[in-house]
This record gives sequence, C-alpha cells and structure tokens, in this order.
Amino acid sequence: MELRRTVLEFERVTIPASEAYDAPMRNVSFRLEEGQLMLIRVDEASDHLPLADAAQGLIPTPSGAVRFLGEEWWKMGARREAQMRGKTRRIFESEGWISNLDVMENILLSEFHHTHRSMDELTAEALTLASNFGLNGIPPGRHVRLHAATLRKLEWVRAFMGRPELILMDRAALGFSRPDLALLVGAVRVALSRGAAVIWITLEDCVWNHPELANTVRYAIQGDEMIPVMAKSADDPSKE
Amino acid sequence: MSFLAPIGDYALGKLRPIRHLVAVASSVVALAVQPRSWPRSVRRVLGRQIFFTGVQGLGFILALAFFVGLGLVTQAQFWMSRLGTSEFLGPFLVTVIFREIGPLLVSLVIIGRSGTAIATELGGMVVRQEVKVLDAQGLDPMVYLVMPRVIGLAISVFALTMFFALASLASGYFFARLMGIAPGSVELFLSSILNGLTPTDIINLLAKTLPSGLMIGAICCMEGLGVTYVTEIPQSATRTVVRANTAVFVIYAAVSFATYF
Repeated sequence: MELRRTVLEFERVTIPASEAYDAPMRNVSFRLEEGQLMLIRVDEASDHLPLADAAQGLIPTPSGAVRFLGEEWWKMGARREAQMRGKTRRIFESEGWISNLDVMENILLSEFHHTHRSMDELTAEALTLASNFGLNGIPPGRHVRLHAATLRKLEWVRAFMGRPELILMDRAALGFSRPDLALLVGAVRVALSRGAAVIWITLEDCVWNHPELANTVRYAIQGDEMIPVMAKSADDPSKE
Repeated sequence: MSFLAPIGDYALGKLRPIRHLVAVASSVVALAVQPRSWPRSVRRVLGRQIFFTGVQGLGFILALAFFVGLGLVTQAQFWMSRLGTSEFLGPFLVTVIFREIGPLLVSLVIIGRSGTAIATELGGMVVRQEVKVLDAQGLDPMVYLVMPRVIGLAISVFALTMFFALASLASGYFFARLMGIAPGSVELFLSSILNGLTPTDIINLLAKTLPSGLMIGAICCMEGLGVTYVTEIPQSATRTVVRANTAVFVIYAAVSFATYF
C-alpha cells in the first residue's frame, strides 16, 4: 500500500469563540494527506470559522497542536513560518486583496515572493488559469472596481498558482452556477492529482453533493464540534 | 515605599513606546543586513517607497531649497561680504545648510508628506484585513511592509537632504549673483564650500539623516499597524506627526550636542 505524506494534522485543537470568530472549535482532530480533499459543511450561522487561520498557523491554539508537513506551527520561527505559509494557498471567505497592488500583482504575489520563477512564466500561468475559469484575461488595475463574481474567480486563479501543498477554500463557490462550479471542481481535481491537500469549507448543497467530490473526507460543523460524516458514494442516487 | 510603585509604573508606562520603537528600528536594521530578507517582492516595495518619498518629494524639496537659498544663502553672502568675513562663508553655509537646516527641514517635510501617508495606508490595510492576507501568503509583515518602508525613508531623507543642500546653495549663489552681491566667482564659492566641508560634517549629516529616517519610518509603521478600528486611522496619523517630530528633534539635539561638545 502506498504511503502518503501527511500535509496537515490537527491534534485535539481547541480554539474558543472570540470577537474574530463566531464559531469556536473544541477538541478537533484530523489528518489530511497529500492528494486528499476534505469537505467541511457549515451552516450560515457559522460565519467566521477559525479553522483556516489555525491550519495556516495564523492564530495560537490554546490547546492541541496543528502540524503542517510534520512541523508544528508554533515551534517554527517567523522566517520558517512565512516560508511554510508560502506553500499554502487560500480563498478567503470574503475578499482577500491587497488594495495598493494591481490585480495581477496580487495574483502573482506569493509565487513572486517565494520562488525565482520569471515574471513571464508566472503571467502565462495566471492567464492560462484565468482562461480555464472562463475569464477573458486578468483585468488591469486595482481590484476595487471589479464585479464580485469576477473577483472571486480571480481568487480561484490565485489559489491554484504554482504547486501548493495545501489549498484552503472558504465558501469559494458561493453564488456560482453549476458550469462555473464544474470549472472549480476540475481545478481542485488537478491540484489533488499533483499531490496537494485541499480543505473546502462549504455551505452549498451543490458542492456537498457534487458527484465528482464524492468519496472525500467529510465533516460537518455542529456547534463547536467537527463531526465526521460518511462519504457519499458517487453512485448514490440521493446525492442530488 | 508603596507610594513609589505608581510613580515607577507611570515612568515605565511612558518608556514602553520608546522601548518598542527602539526594538522595531533595531529589528529592521537586523533584518535589512541579511540578504535573504530581500526577495524581489520586498525590493519592489523598497523601490516604490523611494519613488514615492524620494523621487516624488524631490520637487517640493527643491522648491523649499530654492526659497531657503534665496533668503539664507543670499543674506549670508551679503552680510559676510559687508563685514569682510567672506572667508567664513563656506564653513558657515556648510554648518547651517548641511548640518542643521537641511536635515531638519527635509525630515519635517517627509513626516508630513510620507509619514502620515504610510501610517494611514498601513492602518487601512489592518482594518481591511490585508495584513492577514499577506501573512496567509507567507509574506511576513515585518519583512514585506515595515522593513522596506523604513529603509526607504532613511535613504530618502539622506538623499533629499543632499539635494536640498546643493539646490539651496546653488539658488542662493545665483540669486546673489543676480543682485550683484555675490562675493566672487562660482569657482570661488564652490571651493569655499568644499573647503568648509569636513569629515565631521559628513558624519553629522549621516548621523542625523539615517537614524531620523529610521525612526520616522518605524514610528509611521508602528502607528499604522497599531490601528484596530477605522476611526483610529486619523488619530494614528496625528500621533505619527507628533511622535516623529519629537523623535527627530531629540535625535538632532543629541547629534548636535555630540558634535559641538
């Protein structure tokens, strides 16, 4: 049996509710391996979850440990933390744009900072991804005048740039039609096949019941607990 | 002895921001000397900071230098030639322009022009959660936001002071020449300035411009990143001006004291 590398591991992690997070987390444990997708079902009341921040080591965990690629976030120095976060990508629950950078600069920022890839190569990859998501190129200028749906798709482009080890998607497909969702699911499957681990936090049925996302690790947020949910079989007639 | 405790607490409380400021400035220097702290993204931020502060601020600094030259340098030439002490013109102008007025005026202009801009920009980024977005992408805010801005300000203060000094001397000389009160030829004027310039002046200039640039930058970044709510942004800009001005005057007084005594 093939041994797969653990990308992300939560070990009895507890994060209390705070001003920043509506939903606390209590005693959450899971392990996510390369090429694995985890779907997390939330309801509309769970607005701000600490899960993605904890997975990236952006917040302290009062108890328990979060390990990324075998290293515990809070045992890393600042430089190592930054380096490791460079191996992650994220689609934020709300917009995650730097307002004093152009859209293209925003999209390329992580790869531009952490790698030595040429600008031409990075730009070409961004344009290809944009085209894959049905966008007609990357709009010039700042993000503020762009339509929310376009911006969301541009966040998809940013999330799949390079070869990330972990992709965190927070309600990434909210409000999109099925054809657009299919494009996103396709990109997720490509990333998984390259060995990335993906966490997709969703409240949409169309994502939770998507036939191509069957047989994935599934959890549902209930109160302050993450409850494992049996994976749906791809041929389950009740999935839609 | 318990009555001393509140006094001690008060004093320590007052010193805390200074300790924090020194810690930020020294961390910036410690980071800046490491080549691995300068990936291309950070170099780009440094370039932009120098462009916004140094290049875009040059026009105003030159205009200021023109008026200072018009008033101060022309007056100095006029009175020194009348008093028959033209041989002191060089040392006098070097002392006044290079050591005192130049660095001070440039620092004050930069605080008003770029310092408040940095504080409000960073404050806005905090409020819009953009600092978290950077952090989530593995861009350490200290390395990506603070360090290039602080170093950019320090370089700009130094460079603009040089431009200020040269422009004010040039405008002063040519205005005096126009009025017919210049003490001699341009070569004589230049040699008088160059002869008046000593290594102490260079050290003094560096000791005033670079640390004050560092402190201005560190204060702006601290104030900006210290914002929690959007309503605090104007207050942070005001605090930046007050604290940065205070820091500049303290540094200048300390360097002048060390130079003259």
